Amino acid sequence: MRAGIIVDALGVSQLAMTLIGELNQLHKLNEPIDIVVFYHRYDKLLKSPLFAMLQEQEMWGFNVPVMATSLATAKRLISSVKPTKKFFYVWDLEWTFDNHEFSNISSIYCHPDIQLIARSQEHFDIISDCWQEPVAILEDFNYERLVDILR
Amino acid sequence: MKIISTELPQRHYGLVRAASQVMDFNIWTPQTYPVYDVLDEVKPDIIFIDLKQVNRLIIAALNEYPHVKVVLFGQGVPRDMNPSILVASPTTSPMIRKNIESEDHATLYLRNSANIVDIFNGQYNPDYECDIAYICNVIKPDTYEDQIVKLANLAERYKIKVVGSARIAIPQFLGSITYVATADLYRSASFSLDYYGDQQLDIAANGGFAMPANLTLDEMYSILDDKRDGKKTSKAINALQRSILYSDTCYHRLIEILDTLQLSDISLKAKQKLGDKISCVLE
Repeated sequence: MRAGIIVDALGVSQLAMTLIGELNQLHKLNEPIDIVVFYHRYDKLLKSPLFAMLQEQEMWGFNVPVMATSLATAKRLISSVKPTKKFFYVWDLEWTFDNHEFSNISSIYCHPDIQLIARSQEHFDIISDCWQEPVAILEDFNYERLVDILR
Repeated sequence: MKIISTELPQRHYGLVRAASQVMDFNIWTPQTYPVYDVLDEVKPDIIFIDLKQVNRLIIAALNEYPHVKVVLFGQGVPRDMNPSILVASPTTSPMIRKNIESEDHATLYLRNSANIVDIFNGQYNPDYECDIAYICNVIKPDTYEDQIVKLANLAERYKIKVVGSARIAIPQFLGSITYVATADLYRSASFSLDYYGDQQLDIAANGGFAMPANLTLDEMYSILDDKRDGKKTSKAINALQRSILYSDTCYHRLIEILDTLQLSDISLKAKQKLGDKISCVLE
């Protein structure tokens, strides 16, 4: 199985720490699962990754399921042609703390090609209320659940 | 024909936008651009001025340029000022109305109007569908708590979308909004909350339903639970929309002013603009 995850950067952030930790655990299982992390901006890593990392533009020719993790990465995922499934893991409720333009973000969260994934039941309820209903709940990149969703 | 306007009360924003569509228009800030400079350099034919902006210097200057038509927005005329028209609110109290009428000035009691220059021809967008939409561009401190309480309670039972330039601290606040999206949101929401009573005509002109915010939560629940009754409601919405487009748009108010000023050419131009604008909706 192959899949991709796009992040803004893998530097010092809760997202990066959690993602690297979970994907490293997945690698240790020695199963034929190949998840590539695409980064928009290269950053100093706090943990050594046991998975492949590529620049974000490589995602354009990647014909497997791909998951975005922020509004910016989701916007670029929508406009890329190759990914077979497009997921948006709503790691942060970004509209609540940044100043966004409604129609702009609505076109991302409600895009027909995008399947939303929530982090918790509470997020699931808020996202369903504001945008479209997420297809799954994935707590902190739990690798077993992640594989289920991307498969 | 050149027109300049100071900042006017919010309810006249559409009127100013309509004037900018049919005349050479400029905004004038008296605090930064002295009145004599404006009159000499811009050479306006018409001035829209708010009573709050008027001072002795402006009155003296305007009296030296009697050919400039002055439209004064307020509840009275200062001594020595001779505006071509005084524009007052139709809800002016009888006592003030009596004072206004005791003086010999042409007076227009101008009703509110829908701003169809900016917020117009809303289209249904399934992504914007919700039970309640609220466009919040202003928060008055004394009403903030009440707004939060009402919106938080409504959000527990209904699907709501809150947008606008004034941020409300609830997760359903979804960012700022453009005029085009505003029109679409009015159209797509079952109800649009009109907190300060200044959006109801814009909402109705776009085929939406306005819900006044001075209702109690129980009253709101009962309206929302009844919801829209299919054909009957859409018939009522269409009738309301037509009635506003036929008589209560910002162009209608501008035409009233221009007719009073006896500027028939510009008035005709405004009528043509209005006709072009609403024909696509009323077809």
